[in-house]
Order: sequence, then C-alpha cells, then structure tokens
Amino acid sequence: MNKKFLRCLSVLAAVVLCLGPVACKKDNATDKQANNGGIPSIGEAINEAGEYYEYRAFYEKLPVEIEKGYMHSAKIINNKLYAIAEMYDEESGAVGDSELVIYDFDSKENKFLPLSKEDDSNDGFISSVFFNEDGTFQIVYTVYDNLSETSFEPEYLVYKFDAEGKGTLLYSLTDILAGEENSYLSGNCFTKEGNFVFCAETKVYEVGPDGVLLGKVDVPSWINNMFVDENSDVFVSYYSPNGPEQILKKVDFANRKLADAFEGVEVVGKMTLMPDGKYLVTNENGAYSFDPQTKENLKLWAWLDLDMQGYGDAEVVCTGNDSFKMVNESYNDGRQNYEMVTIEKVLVTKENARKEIVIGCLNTDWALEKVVIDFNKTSTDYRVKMKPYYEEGSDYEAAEERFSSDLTSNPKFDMVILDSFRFEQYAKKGAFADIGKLMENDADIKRSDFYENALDAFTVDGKDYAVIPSVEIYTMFGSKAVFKDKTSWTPEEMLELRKQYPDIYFLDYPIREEALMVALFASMDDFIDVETGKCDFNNQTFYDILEFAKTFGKDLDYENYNSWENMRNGSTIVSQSSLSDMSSYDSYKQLFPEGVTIIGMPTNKGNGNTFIAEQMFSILESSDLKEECWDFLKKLLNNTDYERMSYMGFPTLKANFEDYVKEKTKTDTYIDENGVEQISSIGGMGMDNEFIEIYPPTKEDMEVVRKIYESASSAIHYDEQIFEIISEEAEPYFEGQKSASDVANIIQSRLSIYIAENN
Amino acid sequence: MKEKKEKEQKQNNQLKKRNRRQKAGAALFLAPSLIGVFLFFILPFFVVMYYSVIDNPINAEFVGLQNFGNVFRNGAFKMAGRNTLKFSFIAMPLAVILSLALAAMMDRKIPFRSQFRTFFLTPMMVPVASVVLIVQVMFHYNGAVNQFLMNFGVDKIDWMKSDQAQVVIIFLFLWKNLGYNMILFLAALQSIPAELLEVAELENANKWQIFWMIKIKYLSPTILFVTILSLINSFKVFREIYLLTGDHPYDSLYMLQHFMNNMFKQLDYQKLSTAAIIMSLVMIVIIGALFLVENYVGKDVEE
Repeated sequence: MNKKFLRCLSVLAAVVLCLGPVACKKDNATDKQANNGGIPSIGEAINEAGEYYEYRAFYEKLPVEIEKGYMHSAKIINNKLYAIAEMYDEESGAVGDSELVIYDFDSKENKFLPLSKEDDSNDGFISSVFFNEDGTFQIVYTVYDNLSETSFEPEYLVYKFDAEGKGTLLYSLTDILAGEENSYLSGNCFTKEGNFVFCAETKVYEVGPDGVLLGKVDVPSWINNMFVDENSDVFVSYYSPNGPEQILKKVDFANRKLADAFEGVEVVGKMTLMPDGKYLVTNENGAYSFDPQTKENLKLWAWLDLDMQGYGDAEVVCTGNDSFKMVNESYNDGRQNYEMVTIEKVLVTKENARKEIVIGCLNTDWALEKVVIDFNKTSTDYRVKMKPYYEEGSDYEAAEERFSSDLTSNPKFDMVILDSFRFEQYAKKGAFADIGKLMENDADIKRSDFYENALDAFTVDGKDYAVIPSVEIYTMFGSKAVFKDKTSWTPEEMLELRKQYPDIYFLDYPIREEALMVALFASMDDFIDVETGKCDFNNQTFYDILEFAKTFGKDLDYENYNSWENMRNGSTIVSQSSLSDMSSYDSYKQLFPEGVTIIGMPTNKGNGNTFIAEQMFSILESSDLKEECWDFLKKLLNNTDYERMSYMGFPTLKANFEDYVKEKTKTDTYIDENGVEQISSIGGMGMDNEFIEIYPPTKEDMEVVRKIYESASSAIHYDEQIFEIISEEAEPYFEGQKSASDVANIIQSRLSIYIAENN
Repeated sequence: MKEKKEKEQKQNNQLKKRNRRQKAGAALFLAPSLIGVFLFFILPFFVVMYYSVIDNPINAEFVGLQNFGNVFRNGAFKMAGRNTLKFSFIAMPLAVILSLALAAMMDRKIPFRSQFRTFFLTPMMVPVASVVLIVQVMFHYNGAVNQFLMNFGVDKIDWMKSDQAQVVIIFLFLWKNLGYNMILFLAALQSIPAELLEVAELENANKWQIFWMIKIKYLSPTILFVTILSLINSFKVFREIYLLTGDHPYDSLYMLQHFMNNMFKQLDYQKLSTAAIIMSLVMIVIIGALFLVENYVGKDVEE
C-alpha cells in the first residue's frame, strides 16, 4: 500500500515537473505592456487569422469660423455642439466678449450668442463650463480683482446661463473657502440634481443649488481627478499615500467619507462612465478603458494614432459601444481649426490594414507630432505610426531598456529616432540604411544642400546613416576681457590660464568632476583612436588635464554660490554651455561685462566647438519602405514651421538656416515712458530672484554664430562609461596618493579593454 | 507441448508488456530532465549558434564565419582568452596538487586532523560577498596588506590594479576551493583497498613508490574529476573579480566572462554568441584531453 502510494506520488511529481515548462508560456499581459508604460494595448491582441482591433478617427470639418479668437469647452449633446468662443485679437492683444456657440449637426446651422450677465459685471475669466441636456449651462468664473496684498486667492463665482446666453449669479464660493489653506479649484462639476461639486487640494466640497455647503470630505492625498457619473455619484482619484498606485473612490457625502470603491486604476486622467459599465480614462497620451469588475486597464488609442495631438482634457462623448465623438482643435496657418471626430473600433483585416511606416523612438515632441499628423492627413498610400516607448509618468529607464532590447533583437520599425550618443552604436552594427545613397538619387535634396560639416561630424565609416534636421553646438563662452578674440584653446593653455587665475572660481561649475569633463569633452580624440582601438593616456596633455582638474575642489557650497554674479565680477571667466538658440549667446553677452568670446572646448585639434544632435532619424536596413521613409524625412526637412526648425537647435539645411536667421533677427519695438523707441524682448532667463531679458540677435551676432556653426567639425562622443572610469581612477591623484603617470597607466589599461571590446 | 508454448508465449507477452511499461515509466521520469535540458541548454545553444552566423538581429543576414574572424581579431577577446588560459593553467594545477597534498597529509594520523579538515572547509561556508569584502579590505591600495608591508619599508602596491592582481585572485581561488577538493581526494584515498597497500609494504615498497605506483593510479578518476571541477571553477572566478573590480578591470584581470558579460550589456549578441561557442569548443578539447590522460594513467586499475 505504502509502496503503491509512493509510486503514485512519484508519477504525480514527474507529471507536475513535465507540466512545469507549460507555465513558462509567454505571458501575454506582460508582452502587451511593452510600449504603453505597463498598460496592455487593444491592438496587441491578435487573433489566429492575424486580425486585431484598433480605433480609427473619421474627421468632418466643422463650419464654425471664428475670425479672431478661439473656441473651448466644446461638448456634444443631443447631436448639437455647444462651446464657448473667446474673442481675442492676437495682433493687438485686445480681448473681446465671450460667446456661446451652438452648431446643429442635423440642420448644419450654427449660432453665436453673446454671453451676458444680469448684473452686467465683466469680471473674471471662465475657468469651467458645464453644459446641461436642455441647453442651459453653468460657468465658474475666477475673479482676481479683489486680491489683497497678502492673499493671492481668487474669488470663484458660479453663474447659470439659459440657452440664449443670459446669465444669473447663483452664488459665490468665497465664504465656503474662507479659512482654507489652499482654495485653488483643481476640479469641479455639477450633478444631475444641480449640486456643484468641486475639489481643492485634498478636500471635496458639495454645494447645493442655493449656494449652501452640503458636505465636505477629506481625501488622503492630492486629488488628481474628479468626475460625476450618470448616477450623480462623485468619484475622486488620488495617489495612494503609501505608494505610486492610483486609487479611485466614490465620495460618500452622506457619511462625510470616501466609500470603498474600486482600486487598480493604473492611468491618471479624466474618467467617463461608458454604457458597458467600464470607464473611459483620457489623458495627454491617449484613451484607456478601466473595468471596475476585472480591474483590467486597456489602452484604446494614442492621440497621435488618430492624427491628433495630446488632449489632456478632451471632452470625449461615448455615443455607443466602441464609438466616441469629440471636437478636435488644431492650429494651422495662423488660425484655429475645428473638426468633428468620430472614433470607432475597427477590426483590422488584411483587406483594410493600413500601410504604415513605423518609427520607434523613446518619446515624441509636439513639433514632430505636427509633421507626422500633416503627413498622415495628406499621404494617400502610407501612414506614419510613431511608437514611443516612454509615456509621461512611466519609468524612463525601463522604457530605454525596452527600446534598446527591441531595436537589437527583433525590431518592427522602419525608422528610429535616436540621439547622437546611441546612434553610433547601432550604426556601427550595420543596422541602418545609407541615407547618402537616397540623397544621391533624389532630385530635391542633395547632400550639398546641408551644412556638410555638420553631416560629416556624424558619419560612420564615411557614410550618412541618419537625417539630422537640426544640431546644437556644445562650446564654451569666455569673458572677452580674458580671451580677447581667440577662437580656440588647448588643454595646456587652459592649465596656464588657471595658473594665472588660481584664486577665482574660473569655471561656471567649479568642481573637479566638472573641470575634468570640460577638459576631456573635445580632447578625447587625443587619447583614444576609435578607428584603431588604441589608447594613449600617458602623455603631457592628459597630465595637464589632471593637473587642471586638481586645482578645483571636490564639492561646492551651492547655497552661497551665484554663477551669474561671479561672471559679472570676473570670478568666473569661462562657462560651458550648449549653443542651441540665440538666447544663450545673448545672456552671456549681458553677463560678461566686457562681452563674450566663443572659445570652444579645449582641444589640440581644431576649435573645440562640437555638435550634438538630439534627434537623428535613421532608416533601418531591414525596412522594405526605405523610399517611403525618405519621403517622410524630406517632408520633415522641408517643414518650414519656424518652431519646428528651431526646436532642437540650428537647422542643418542651409536654406532653413537662412530662414531661421531672418526669423530670429526680426525685431519688435515699443515706445517707452520717455517716448523713446525700444526693442522688445523675446523672452528671458531667470536664476534665483534675478531675471535677464533676452533680445533678438543682431546681424553681427548671427554672423558670429554662423562662423562657429561653419567651423565646427566634430561631434561629441560622450560615453558615460569612459568618463566614469577616468573619474574613478583620477580620484587617488586628486587625493595626492598616486602620480599622474600611475593614474594614466591604470586608465589606459581599463579603457583599452573597453575600446577594444567595441572596436 | 502446445500448452507449454502458449505459456511461454504468455510469459513473453507479459515480459514485453512489463518492458514497455518500464520504458514508459523511465521515459516519464526522465521527461522533466530531458525537457529542462532541451529548453534551457540545447535550444539556447542552437539560438547561440544562429546568432553567431548572422550579421545582426535587425538584418539577420547569414555571414558564415565572419563573426568568428571578427572575434578572433578583437583585442579584448584575445586579452580575455590569454588571461583566462593563464589563470586556469596556473590555478588549476595548483588547486589539484595542493589539495592532493593536503588530503595525503590528512590521510595520515597527524594531531588535530579533524580541526584541520574543518579549517580547510570553512571558506566554503563564507558567502562570496563577504569574501570580496575581506579581499577589498586587505588588498585595497590603502588596505591592511599595504599597511603591514609599509612597516618594513615596502612601497605601496596597487594589488588590484597592477600585474600582481592575478596573484591575489589565485590566492583567493585556492583559499575558496582547496577544502572541497581535499575532501574529494580524502574520500578517494580512503577507498583504496587496504590489503593492496599492506602487500606493497610487505614487499618493501617505500612510501614514494606506494604513492606513485598504487595511490596515484587509484586516484586517477578522482584527479580527473577534481581537475575538471577546478577548470570549471577557474572559469567561474569571474564572479569574484567582477564584484571586486566591475565591468572593466585592470587588464590582467580581464577574463572571457567579462568579455561576454559586457557584450551582453551592449546587446552585441553576435560577439557574445561567437565567444561562447569558441569557449565551449576550447573546454571540450581540454576536457577531452584530460579524459585521454586519465584513460592512459588509470588503465591498469580499470583492467
């Protein structure tokens, strides 16, 4: 009996062990989370026939024209669009009246009704608008007129408007909020009963139609979002005080507490109850559904995939199962455009699948998104699908790892966007197509149309593997009083100068580690020959750099350190910075009393002005859509959107740079109190309690920058590992325990391995 | 007659049935291991082979032995290979000879034998992190060993960042592995037939002759086993070196596993896979050679 039992047990154990690997099957949930900051996406559930669902947007231009002004708070109720139009003349800055906009989708007619208040007051600005089913609406005005010297808290006035735009003051919230530490209304809404619910910091308030406070409920931490569902139940979402988890709870006003509601909402955003009992959560990344029963979070769409830019507060109306409507606002050609968007769930089959150019990247920016949307809306054959790995609020390092891993193992991209530090690593592996060949065969854009010195700086094995729309120049700004008209300096000269000024801060960030970095940035080629894989740190230049860095302290008392003041009083004579636009040049011009000299990073070769590229667009060698990718890149390069061109530095296309110069040197003037015409500032820079106004560059300034741009010839090869090894090994030299030669030997030994590995 | 035949037939059938059942049972019990070996060893090995013959996972174009050529020309790989072989060919014989000597000593009736045995086994119980910490405290540039040497007017030595680094690691390797090897040899020594040794003594064989002519022959399978074990352990010394010095140590400490580990970090699967295949081929050759030697030395015993 016992033997039999043991035998059965053994067989059972063997079966369990055999079945063990079955448990190792691919976890779909985990796999789906690859690109959505941990949330699975609807498009990743692919059936056996290779079909999947995705949401698609269908656009219809709204015939609502607002000549001067813009529309907001649009909401669709009973097939009518309700919105508020604010009249505003951008040129003169004149603010006009607010108007109620009603567009009837059935009759295709629109009405503009001026808002008028029965008390004729014209105070405050509209902070929230709530449209009701019957066409009436409530507006919360924020009024800053009654501010005292000690209080910056505004007054909140709640008005009720009829369908014709005539408003009556319901009540003021001033008394209700009196005595509260923070009365900023972070969320508000009306219930079906007409009660006004709002939240301020960590409290939720319910006010009756007569303006009497009905109840107040404390929430454990700052409220992220508040909404009312169809049953007039109020919900708040907030981060758990014990961790990063977001908690969603119903507010129980009767018992003055938060009820036990559902938890497990992984996305912060605006929540709306859908007919199937799930919640639609929208934020600046896209839309998600949350099922309170199963706790499942699912990404429905990214705004960009629907050809829209991030809508944090989009008013999405659920018009049925898997169908939504919203109004899309876009700003093109100097005016606001409005489109009615119908979003529907579509089963993607072989027949209706769209041809896509997939671009893998860590994150996108609004300027690039505009180009992508424009391309998608005009291209008939292909769409560009951005696949960003990082989403706001998710783990950046984890996103970087996922992106690298996907790019190296099994990329499903046609293109990637990398920065100059990552680009080279993949280009050397032969992952990218030769852009030079595409340029050679192109009738519109040739290599000679670019600043070729900028392209040359990023070539790998003599080939162009990336399109670089713009570059920044990493350099050093020196006091003209010290550097005169010098255009470059060597590490040896840097050490000599330091010896002349031993008692000043010298650098902008006068600490050893920074000094070492500054000295090595452009000099690395003196010590490492990437082509041959040889290292030579046993030379006088490296000893000079070590000696220079040793003259600085390990730490700095930042509390009593003011770098701007030090530049003014001559205690700081040189500062390292990126020349990405003209504002940094102008600020240094103002900070160094005798003017500024762009001296470059210290180096024995050339002038030490080095390029950095934030966005390098590379086409994957494995892509079948190389020509199509190139078409998109041409659109990107030819995009004359001024903001886009100057977003990441100076345009690399010569024609774009000339447009950039023209745009930048434009000046606006105003007449000051003395009747003198003055140039208007274009922005400013602040530090502590100080603010510097930045003015448009002069033509002379632009010529200085143009010369620097044209003379730069190398790219920064910043490798964290190399700097870490040098920093670590240089420490005993700084502490006086080892000689420069001993330290150089060790650095050479360790870095030789590192370089050889990658050679 | 017919009945007998039928009985035999029946017995044969029963025998076949039992055989089939036994085979099925054996297969069932072997299955977990076989599945495990297939999933975690054989399948990855084929994946590694695949990666070693393509240009990169993005293009996945067959490039034949080009990756092998690249790896053989790579300076870091050559250095890692040289250092690993050097370390193994110094540390492995030392580990075998010293542990055999210790076992021979423990096999004799010396005082405090039990305490000595415990003493040599103690390093096995110490966690690697603690070992590393102790070595760091002792062999740091400002560590205990240098402080001690300075008392005798000796200049400071940068133990972990100079050519002396391998000496420290060999010392660490021996300290960690001698005890276990010694126990294996001790067990083997105690299993040599006592009557054989008595006969040898009766026939006036001296101790040296007994050791070489009898004990070594009987110990040859254990020597082979300990040698292979030491060889494997010598490759595994990377763990201690990595904890002591990180990804890119001083060149004398750079081992093959550093190369492979760093290639993994850089997601360079081609170099990683190619190096792994080369390393396994070298291991096969060395272990094959050791088997041949063992066959030759131990053939008298087996016969």
